[in-house]
Amino acid sequence: MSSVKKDFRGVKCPVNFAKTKLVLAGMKKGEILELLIDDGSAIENLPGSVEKEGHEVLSKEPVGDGGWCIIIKK
Amino acid sequence: MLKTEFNDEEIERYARHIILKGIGIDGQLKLLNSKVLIVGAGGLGSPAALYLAAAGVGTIGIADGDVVDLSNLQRQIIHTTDDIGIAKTKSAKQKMLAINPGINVVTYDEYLNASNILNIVKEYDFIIDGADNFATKFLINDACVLANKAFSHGGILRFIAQSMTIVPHKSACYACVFDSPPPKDSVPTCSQAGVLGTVAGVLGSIQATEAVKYITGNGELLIDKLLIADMMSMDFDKIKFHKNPECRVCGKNGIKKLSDYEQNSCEVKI
Repeated sequence: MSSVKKDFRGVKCPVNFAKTKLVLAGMKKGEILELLIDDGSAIENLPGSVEKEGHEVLSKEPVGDGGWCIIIKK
Repeated sequence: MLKTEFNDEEIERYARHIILKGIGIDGQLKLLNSKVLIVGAGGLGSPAALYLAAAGVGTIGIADGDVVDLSNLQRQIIHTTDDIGIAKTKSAKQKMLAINPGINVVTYDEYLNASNILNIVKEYDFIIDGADNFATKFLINDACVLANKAFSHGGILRFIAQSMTIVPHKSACYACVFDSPPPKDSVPTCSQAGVLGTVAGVLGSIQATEAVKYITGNGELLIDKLLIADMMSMDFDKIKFHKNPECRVCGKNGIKKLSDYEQNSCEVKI
């Protein structure tokens, strides 16, 4: 299964979620999205919002410079 | 040309709509591709125009033959003191484009009548009645019934507002409920009537909400119901109505062409 990678670090809430929603809308069911987002309100809010849209958050891992990598299955 | 995707500026501008269930990506694209006509750049038209411009309604038509007067500014919030003496349509267009340069605003610097209204109304998806007189309100209803266009009726007086949405040939029209303009002596004169500015703000915003719901196909419209809101008691009531099969406008022997209604000389200025 192919995966899509996006870096939304530095993109404020809720624009990061709006962009995530648009990326997911363009993907096929079952495809994987690897997303880089900021620490703080982004990691606190975005995964839950993505799940409420019916997608699956497979993992959340911190990356080196304070951001997070989250893996989403559409 | 139909818009099918957003640019970066639009994603940021409309983020709170895009993430909102009930609007979302599809709803925002529908708004960007929609056309709404606002009749009257006054108390009701002001908030409606500002919110619909902010919402990204792709084309907004605004019709009014009046110029901005100092006595308008207590409630007609799209105009400022610097606008006194200029056409209300011009003033309204400036503010809408200042909020959202991505939309298209079409101005009709004229009062609508039986000979010009149909050609204007047919260009739009939804119409907002922000007119300040019964003659125009009934004419908007008649034109929308003939052109088969949905519209939001709104009226305000003192602390009370009323609104209903009409989807012609599906729901009750304005004439199903009120039949025809009230007799002259039953309408408050200018010296008797006042209106609280915020009442216009609340109702114009409700009308803009109905436009957004109609365009995006979400929620329950105020059809077959008349909303009456008394802002002094904050009672919001909805009275049910049904389409009248004998209605003189939309009934089985309804109107086939438009004619002007008699205009009272001194009605309440909304």
